[in-house]
Amino acid sequence: MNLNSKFGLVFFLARKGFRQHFFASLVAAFSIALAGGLLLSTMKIQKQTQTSFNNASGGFDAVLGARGSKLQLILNALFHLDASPGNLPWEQYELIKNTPGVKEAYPVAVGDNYLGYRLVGTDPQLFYDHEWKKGEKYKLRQGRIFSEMAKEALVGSFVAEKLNLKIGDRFQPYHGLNFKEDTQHEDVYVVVGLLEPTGTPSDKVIWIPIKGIQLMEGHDKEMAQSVSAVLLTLKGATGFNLEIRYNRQGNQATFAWPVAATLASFFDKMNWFRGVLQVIAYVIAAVGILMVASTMHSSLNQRKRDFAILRSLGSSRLIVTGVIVCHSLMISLLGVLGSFLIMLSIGSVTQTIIVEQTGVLLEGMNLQLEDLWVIAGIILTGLIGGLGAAVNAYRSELVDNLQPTS
Amino acid sequence: MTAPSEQIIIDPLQFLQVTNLKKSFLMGGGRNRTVVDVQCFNLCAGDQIAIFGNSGTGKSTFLNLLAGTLKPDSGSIMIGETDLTGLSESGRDRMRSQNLGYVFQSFHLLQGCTALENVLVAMAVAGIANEDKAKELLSLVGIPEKESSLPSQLSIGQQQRVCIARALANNPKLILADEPTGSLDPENASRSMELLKSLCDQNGCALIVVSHDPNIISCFEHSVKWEDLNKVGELGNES
Repeated sequence: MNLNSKFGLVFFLARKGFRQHFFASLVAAFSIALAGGLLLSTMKIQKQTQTSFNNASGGFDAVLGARGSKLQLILNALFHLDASPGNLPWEQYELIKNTPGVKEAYPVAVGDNYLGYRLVGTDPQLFYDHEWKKGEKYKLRQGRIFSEMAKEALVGSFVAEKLNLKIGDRFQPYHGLNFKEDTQHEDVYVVVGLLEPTGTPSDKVIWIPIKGIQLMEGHDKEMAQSVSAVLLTLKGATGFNLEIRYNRQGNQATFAWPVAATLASFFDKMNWFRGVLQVIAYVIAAVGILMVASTMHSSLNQRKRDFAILRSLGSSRLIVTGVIVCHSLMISLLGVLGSFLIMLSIGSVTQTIIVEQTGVLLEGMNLQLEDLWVIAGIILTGLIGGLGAAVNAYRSELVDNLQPTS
Repeated sequence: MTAPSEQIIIDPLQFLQVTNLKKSFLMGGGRNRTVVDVQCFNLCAGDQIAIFGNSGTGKSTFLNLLAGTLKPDSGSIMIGETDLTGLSESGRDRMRSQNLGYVFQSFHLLQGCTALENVLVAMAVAGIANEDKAKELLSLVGIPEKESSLPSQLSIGQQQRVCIARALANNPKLILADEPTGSLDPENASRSMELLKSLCDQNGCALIVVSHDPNIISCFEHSVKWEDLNKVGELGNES
C-alpha cells in the first residue's frame, strides 16, 4: 500500500479503524448483508422459480382433463402435485388424439404411490418420441423402457436415488397419492429402467404402463376405461380452437392452455408473500443504515482524538472525512459479500426444498447485470449510514479535541 | 531570538517572526477574553528556546497559533517568507505537515497504529512516507525493537520517544513541544529533553518548548518567561 498517495493513506487509516472497531463494524455489515441477501433472494427465487416451472412443464403445450380448475389440472398432470380433479373417459383421449393440429397426445393415469412417490401410468411411446425440452428426449441411465402390457416400471432419477431402486427390484404399489401402510396393492412391479435426471417433475415419478393403473387390483372398474389427463403438444393456432371447443362450448372437460399463462397466474397469487419478504428486507435495510450510523458515530467519538492528531500532523479535513467514508465503504462491501453468501445459502436451501417437493430444479442463483442496482443499493445504504459521521468529522475542529494544557 | 524585554533586532537569518499576535476566546456572557497578546517574538533557524510560565495562561494557545491549528485575531506569523496567518486552512495544513513537528504532553499517538506506523503516518501526511527512514528514526530515539508495538504496549518514556521520532519524521524546520515531559518522571524527563535537543541540533531544526518545570527550563541556554512575552495578565484581559 502506497501511503504517500492520499487514497493509500485514507485506506490505511480506514483499515485501522475497521480493525479497532471490528465487532461493531461486523455487526453493521451483517445487518446490511441480511437485508441485501433477503432482497436478492426474494427477487431471484421468485424469478427463477417461475422460469424453472415454465421450463419444467415437460415440453407440453396443454393438458386436457376433467372439468375443473386449469391450475389444478396442470399441477397434477405436469408437476405431479395436488390431487387429480377427476377422470376423463378414454374416448376423450381418442378424440383429441385424432384432432387435426394435435401433434402429440399422451394419456396419464394417477392414483397410486410407492412409499410416497407417485406412480404415473402412461404410453411408453412418450419416452421414445417426446422432447421434454427442445431437442431433448428422455435418456436411460440404465435398463429399458417398460412394455405396454407388462407390470414393469421406469423410475425417475430422484426416486431411484431416494429409494435406492435398482434394475430388477420388485415392489408393490400403495393405493392413493399419499403413502399409507395398510393400502398396499397385491400387484408386483419390476424395475426395468432408470431415467437420467431432467431437472423436471418427471424425476420424482415412477412410470408404469397406463394399463397398470387402470387395471390395478382393487381399483374401480370404471377406471379401466378412463384417464386422469391427456398431455398435449399442439401445432399452430390449434390451442385457440380447442380452448373454445372445450372451455366455452363444452362442459365435459377442461382444456388447460397455455401452460405458461396458467402458471403465471399461480405465481401472481403468491406475490403477496414476495411483498411481505420485501417489506421485511426493507425494514432490515433501515436497521442496517442505523447500525452503520451507530457504528460510525461511536467510532467517530472514539477516534475524534485520532483525527485531531492527524490534523495536527497536517492532514486536511478531507482526509479525515475520507477515512470515515472509506470505513463505511468497507462495511458496505463486506455487506455486499455477505449478501451474496446469504443469497446463495437461502437459494441452496430453497432449491433443495423445491426439488424435494416438486422435482423442479431451480436454475443457478448466479448474479446478473440486473442485480447491480441491488449491489449499488447495498453500498449506498452503508454510505448513507456513514454520512452523518463523515459530516461531523469534516466539521470537527482540531483544537476541540486536542485541548491546550496551559 | 528575541525576548520582548529586549530590543528587537531584525536578524536576516530569522526564520520565525511573530508580530502583534493576538488571540481571544468568547467567554460566557458574550465577553471576549484575550489569552495571547505577543508583540514580537523571533527565532533563527536552529535556535532552541524554552517558554516557561504558569498553567492556564495561554502558552499552548500560542503554540497552536504558531502551528496554524488556531487562527489569530490579528498579527502575523512569518515562517521564512510565508505569512502563516494569510494562508487558507489547507495551506496551513500543508505548511504544518512540511515544516513543523509537534510533541505533546500526552504524546497523542494513534492508538490503533504501531510505533513504526505512527511515524510513517506523519511522513505520509506530507507525502514522503519511507519505512527505512521511519525505522532509522526509531533507532535514533533508542527504541528500534519497539517498531511493531502498539502505544498501549509501550512505557510512558517509550511513547514519548515515538512522539519525538514522529515530530522529526518530515525533517521539520521547527519543533513545537508542549509540556513534553509533563507525563514523565524526572529522570526520564531530562533524558527525553536531552534527546529532543540533540536531535534538533543534529537536524538543524529550531525548537520551542513550553514548560513550567524548572528542571527542563534549566536545560536551555535561552528561555523566556511567558508573562514577559505575553502582554495579558494571568487571567487574561476581558472586554
